[in-house]
Amino acid sequence: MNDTQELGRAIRELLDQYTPPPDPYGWVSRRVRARRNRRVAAGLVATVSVAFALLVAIAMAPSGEVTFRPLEVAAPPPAVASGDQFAEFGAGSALEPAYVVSRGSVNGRAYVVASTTFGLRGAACLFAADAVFNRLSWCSAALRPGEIGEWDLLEPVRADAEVVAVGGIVQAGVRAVVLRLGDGRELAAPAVRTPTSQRVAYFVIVLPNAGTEVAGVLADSAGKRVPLPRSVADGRCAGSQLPAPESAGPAAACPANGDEATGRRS
Amino acid sequence: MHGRSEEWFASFVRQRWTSMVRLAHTLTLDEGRAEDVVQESFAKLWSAWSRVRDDDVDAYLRQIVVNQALSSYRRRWWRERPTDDLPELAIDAQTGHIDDRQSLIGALAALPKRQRAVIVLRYAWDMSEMQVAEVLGCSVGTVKTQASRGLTRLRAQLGDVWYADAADGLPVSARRS
Repeated sequence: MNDTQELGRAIRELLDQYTPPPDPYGWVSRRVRARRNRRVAAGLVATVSVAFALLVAIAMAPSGEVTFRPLEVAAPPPAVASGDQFAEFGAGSALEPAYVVSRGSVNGRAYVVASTTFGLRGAACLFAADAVFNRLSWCSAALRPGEIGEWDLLEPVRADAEVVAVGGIVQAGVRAVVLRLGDGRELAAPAVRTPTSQRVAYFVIVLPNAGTEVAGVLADSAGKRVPLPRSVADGRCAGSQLPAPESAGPAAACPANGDEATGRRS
Repeated sequence: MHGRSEEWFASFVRQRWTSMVRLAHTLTLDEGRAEDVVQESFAKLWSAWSRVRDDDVDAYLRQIVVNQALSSYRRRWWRERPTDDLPELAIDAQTGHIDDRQSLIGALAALPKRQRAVIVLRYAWDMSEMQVAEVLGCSVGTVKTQASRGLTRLRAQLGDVWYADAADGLPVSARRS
């Protein structure tokens, strides 16, 4: 007998006093049932976890805002690229002729934003008065040479509509704009040409969350992106100068888009 | 289930229980833990009972027990605390024999777990180097290396009492028996 054989024998005999349980199979069968129950429980937990994770993922925006609802960007359909006439203001209204720039529904409320001149020669304006916008009237004056366009938050919106609206104008050759949100997300929308102006195209994007932070807007021309400046009101095309939709006849002076004059929104 | 019924499994458990607990004990050095390992191993075997060939059942079970014993080290409540200081050995004043059981447990516990597994499977359960390599999922060369190092460490820790006075070629504990 060598030392390794003796070692092996000694190791084997370490438990030489062991007394097995009366029925080891009873122990094993209980363990089998416990394993089965653990698997069932783990399966249930996994299922519930996945369902919960899906719900959370749906409810949460990438920024982590739990209350952020899915975006319903109201980009106008291609059919209005030439600007469907919007005749709901009534014949003889100062808003006529008006053309649809964006039509849609947000947070269950329908809206239509139209381009108009407010009866002002050469003006490029946006107007809406519906369940979302509370008599929106936004005008932009001429784009100076080299200017691609400009954007602004469209106001006033109805507080209970809980939306953020962005609109503006770009050079007529620009086909789309990109809205960049504060959390880094980007949304694209077409720039819509209407008979209101031969020189500019309009864009409107309505976001279904009042807390949405807008970081900026870029003109997207054949993949080339150019940041647009935010419009600065200078009072030369103030809201008080704009006619009410039901009124007839042109308003007083307002810078005409395409001219060198400058004027901004209400 | 290949004709093997639950009754057959129950009988198989009862027949193999003690030998598997002994195997698990040599790897875990703890009786309660060994029983736990064997329970879990049989439960795992049952889940594969219909897929294991008759002539592979014993080898399959042994593999599960070894793996289960080695993986049980990862469970906090079983984790050992390695120490360089072995407990004081009790030596019989008359015979010079030590309390072999305690000293051997202490020496085995001081080995790294896979080295201990090689020693146990190779020398206590008379498995070939090839079989040990298959069970542990390593190469034969690794088994040889681990066995050599393990024996060296055991000799270093048990030498004075296990191999001393072995002029007749027998270790003390062998002569005792």
